[in-house]
Amino acid sequence: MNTTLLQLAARAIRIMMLVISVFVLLRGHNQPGGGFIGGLLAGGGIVIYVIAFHTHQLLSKTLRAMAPLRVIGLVLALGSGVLGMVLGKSFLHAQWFNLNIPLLGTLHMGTPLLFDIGVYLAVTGVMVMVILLLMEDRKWN
Amino acid sequence: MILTAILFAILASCLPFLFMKAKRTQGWLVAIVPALLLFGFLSLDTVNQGNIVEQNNWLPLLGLNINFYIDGLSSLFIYLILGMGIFVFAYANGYMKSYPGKSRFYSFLLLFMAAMLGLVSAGNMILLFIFWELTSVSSFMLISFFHDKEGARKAALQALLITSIGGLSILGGFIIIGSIVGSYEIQDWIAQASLITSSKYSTAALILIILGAFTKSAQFPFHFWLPNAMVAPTPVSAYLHSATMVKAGVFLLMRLGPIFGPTDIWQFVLPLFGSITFLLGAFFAVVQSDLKRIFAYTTVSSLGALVMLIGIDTDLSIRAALMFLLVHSLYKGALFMLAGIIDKRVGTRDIYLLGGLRKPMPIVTTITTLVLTSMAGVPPLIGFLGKEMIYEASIQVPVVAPYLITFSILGNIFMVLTSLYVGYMVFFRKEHHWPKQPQRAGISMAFGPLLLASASLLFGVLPQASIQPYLQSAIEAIKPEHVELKIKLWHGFNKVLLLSIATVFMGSLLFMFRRITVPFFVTFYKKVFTIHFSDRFFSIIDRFMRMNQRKADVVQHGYQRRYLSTIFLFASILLWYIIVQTWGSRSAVQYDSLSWVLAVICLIIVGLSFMSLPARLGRVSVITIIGGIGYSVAAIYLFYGAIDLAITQILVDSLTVILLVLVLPKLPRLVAFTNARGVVRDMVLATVFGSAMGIIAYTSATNPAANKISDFFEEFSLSIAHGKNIVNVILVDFRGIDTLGEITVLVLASLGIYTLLKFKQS
Repeated sequence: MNTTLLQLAARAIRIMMLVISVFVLLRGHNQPGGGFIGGLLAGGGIVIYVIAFHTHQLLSKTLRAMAPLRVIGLVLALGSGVLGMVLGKSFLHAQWFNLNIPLLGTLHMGTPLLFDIGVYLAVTGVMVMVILLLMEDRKWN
Repeated sequence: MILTAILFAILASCLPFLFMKAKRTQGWLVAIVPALLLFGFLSLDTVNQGNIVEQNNWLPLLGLNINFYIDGLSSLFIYLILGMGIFVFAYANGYMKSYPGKSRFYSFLLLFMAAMLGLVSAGNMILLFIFWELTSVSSFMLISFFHDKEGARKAALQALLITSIGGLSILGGFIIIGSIVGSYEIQDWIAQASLITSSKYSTAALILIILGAFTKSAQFPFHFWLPNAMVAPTPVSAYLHSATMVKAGVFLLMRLGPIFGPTDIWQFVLPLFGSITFLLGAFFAVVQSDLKRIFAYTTVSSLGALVMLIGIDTDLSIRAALMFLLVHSLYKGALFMLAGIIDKRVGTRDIYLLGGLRKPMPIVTTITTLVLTSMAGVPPLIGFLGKEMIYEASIQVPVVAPYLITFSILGNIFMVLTSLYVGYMVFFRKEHHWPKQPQRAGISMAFGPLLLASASLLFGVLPQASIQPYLQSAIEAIKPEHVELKIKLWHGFNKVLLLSIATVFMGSLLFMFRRITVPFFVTFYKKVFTIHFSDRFFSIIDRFMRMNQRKADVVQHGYQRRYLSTIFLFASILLWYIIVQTWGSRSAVQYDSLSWVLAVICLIIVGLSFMSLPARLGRVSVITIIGGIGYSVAAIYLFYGAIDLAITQILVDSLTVILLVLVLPKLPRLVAFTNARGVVRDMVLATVFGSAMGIIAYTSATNPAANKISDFFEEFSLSIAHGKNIVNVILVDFRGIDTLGEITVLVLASLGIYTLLKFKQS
């Protein structure tokens, strides 16, 4: 499917989906969205890009890049739980604090965001890996 | 303090890996750990300062606590474990020098030591069980140290299986007693001994516990795993399989002696099996040719003597048991180490190949002779004291004394014969077939046996000054109303001494006619003992495996369609049971006003479901239709305002279609397996299951539950979790641990897929 039209579109789609996925992830706590949906969106964007520019190098490069994401995601999610424990409550007990950023104002943040980022990364990594592995095996195109 | 010590010992099992570079002194460095611990425990000084109780909560509601209870009995075992530990690590320094993976070896040995310490100092019986199992596991790791040899793996598996059968049975016994008393603390058990023994379940508990102790302490008919375990490196045999681990069963029996000692079963079963093991072990030792196997069988025999003495349950017999325990650990640990030295220096352990080692190895000869003398029970070594006390205890038993005395004397005669015969064959006879020229042993290897042999001599000559207080305090732990008994080398001329002299005389007589007697015993052994317990054990295991294989072939047949029908069948049975049970209790049906939009969507879903049914449809069409159903479900979510769910459903559905497209070409062609009868059967099953699901769905939709969990989420989502999106708050906060589990499963599944796809060619 190495068509110029698709490739042009895929480039735009990838950027768009990644940006939207982060947006969806960050707003997830108060509005529809969250780590799982964000992860699926991001994964979708990457997969479309790889399908459009399908080469062997790109495939294995993407695979290599995605593999650590899963572990990082798991560690982040676990770490947010441990953080709750370290700060004196039980495992995964949410901790909230206000972050003062100069010029931008105060940000109300908590460990659930960290947890959600972990979910986002793990879902993205797993989804992309599984689809790309199947593609590689299938020798698509 | 005790918890700290045991945790320290467990953590110390990582130390050998730090000392990996110190190739020549690794064992000495590791020996610092037991030395430090021994120093610590000696400073506790239970002999003069009484028992130590330490309590830490773990799961107090279940009666599980990390409680320690150290009395005289525990102390005696602790000193044995740590003292022998120092010698064994020092010995291993020389013995293991040339083996790769010796850091692993030291690590497991330290772990074993920690587990053993925990076992003997545990006050909570469940905690004791945990350490008990840990010793089995570390023993398994150590026996299978040479894991590239099939024999080692088989022996390790055998030991593990037998001891863990025993482990499970003591757990059963503990739970029974625990539920009688309402506590798992040993002190409570001893305090309520009469309550336990008067309960009707106490017999079951006692039998289970005895079974466990017998497997661990290699009593007949479970004795065979111990000689097989001799494939382990020699330091392991010296430590686990003579001095410490196999005594765990004896320890458990001594611990529970104050509770069950007076019962009939105790006084019948223990002396019976103990005396059989005593005699059989000693007899089997005579007919072996491998040094380590000889010593293994004498160990079995000594364990039998210990169990017999515990079963007699008088002050004298308990004293004899404790004395003999000490005696045996001293001489048997040393003997195994010496066997290892000979094996290393000469290249064989077969007593028919060895011989004449007196000239090239004078020091080893001296030490071994000393230790063998102790085993034969000749004064002034401590072994003499041990044997005297066994006779003394057996003589004063009321009814069965003649029987016990006969077994004891016969067993001891064989011990004497073994000692003399081994000493003669290895050191003093002229002819030999050495595989290589013997060399002298290094200091590191000779250090342990030398000190142990000297201890045997010293304790034998001066029992009162050295060991009397420790033994006294240990006896008091088992027999609180015990009167003080002096331990002396010279008892005066009495019946017991006469028996001793007769034993040594008979043993020597058998030895003098060794050219007739030993071959006779060997043929006798081959003719009579045609059942090999070890082979029999493996054939039982094999049969068990075959049975499971057949069972698995029926249950785990590998056909997806049959699994599904099984699941549907059982699920519908359960569902229909519940439906029938609650048929009348339905409250009045409350209909929401049905929106026409929802009705249309539902009709679409039903229509699509029917469209997917015909068998002639290809897979692609079915997938497309199912995708359509997914989108329709998402539309329902949207209708109710569950945007998160709708988005997730749409994304998941899209991705599923992509995945299926990728997988499709791999699938085999569709073949119709079902005939006309099968179709009818499937139809019936589908109708039954589908209608059950329909009724359940209808019921749950029309009967709102009284208190809904969603109320909780609605109330607290913003107030304590600071999130307006309830779905997300549930996912990342309220039920965060579920999500964590799910993404873990996801990642693991991706690993599985990776292996399946990447490595299928190779």
